[in-house]
Amino acid sequence: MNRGRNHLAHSLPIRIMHWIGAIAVICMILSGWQIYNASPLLPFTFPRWMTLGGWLGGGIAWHLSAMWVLFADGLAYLAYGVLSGHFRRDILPPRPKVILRDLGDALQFRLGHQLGSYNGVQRLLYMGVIIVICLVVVTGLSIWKPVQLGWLTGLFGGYPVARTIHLTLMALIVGFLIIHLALVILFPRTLVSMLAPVRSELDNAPRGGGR
Amino acid sequence: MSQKRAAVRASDIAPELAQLSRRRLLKGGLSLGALTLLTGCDLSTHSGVDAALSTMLEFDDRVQAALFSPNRLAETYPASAITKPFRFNAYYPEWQVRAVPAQWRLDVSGLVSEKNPGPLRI
Repeated sequence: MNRGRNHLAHSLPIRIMHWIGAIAVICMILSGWQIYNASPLLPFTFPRWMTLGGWLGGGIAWHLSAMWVLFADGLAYLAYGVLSGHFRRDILPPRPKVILRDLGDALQFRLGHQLGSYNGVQRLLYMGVIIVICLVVVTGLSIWKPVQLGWLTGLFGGYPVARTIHLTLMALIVGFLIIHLALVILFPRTLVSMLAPVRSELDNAPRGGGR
Repeated sequence: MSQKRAAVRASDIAPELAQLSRRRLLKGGLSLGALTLLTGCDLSTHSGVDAALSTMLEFDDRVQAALFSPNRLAETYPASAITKPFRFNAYYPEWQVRAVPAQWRLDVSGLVSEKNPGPLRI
């Protein structure tokens, strides 16, 4: 719990799991679009160059392969997050009042960013995307094995509904990625801190996440 | 499509991208993967990527065999749950079913005595 000036912004396990997860999620999305194209739910399909796998069978092969990478990486991250206190310390959002204050600041581009400490908006986004990725895996299981896991498919309201939820959650993840990448472009040193061991800036008047 | 190339330029494959044939759909083709020097995956080219994917799918099969029961039956629904008109495989309504083009012929091959290709009628 002692997070002094010598603490890293992101520990080595977090950095490794972040990049494995990022690659797995992107493979899942691109191959998922390939699978979607075979049976589009909405009146559009994704252009060929945006998809992974070349055809339906190839898309499924990529999806089911990247699935295991995401599953293993996700389990390791959840275990690490709970056991190391990462979730409690870095991800658990503050009270709604603090989130609203930080959101107001963020929308006026007044919200500071300190490496090593997430503000209320970041915490909300990161917790949200962690939950959404867990849900997208569970809905994915329910439409992958609707007979074997029929109870799970039933829980989501049947196959067509579970598929719609799965695609909606995908759209939420894509939305998160757009915001996430935009913020990384605005604050490029956050990219460095996710690649290399960079010291935390926590001792400089933490805000939002500080408690 | 399954030929190995060291590099693929977008201009090289423009004609293929423009031409969407059923054959391409079945055989697979170039994708984002191909453009980034991974081969388009059709699981028959024996490239490194395809071999890795095949290994993963075999692992997938083993996990499924260990976890799931082949005797489990799909859920039974009451007759009142039948959707009318019937939902087709790809979830398109009946009026969107595409007609088979008149010039298409069914090619019969294999161990059958009568191999005359005939027109498709539904």
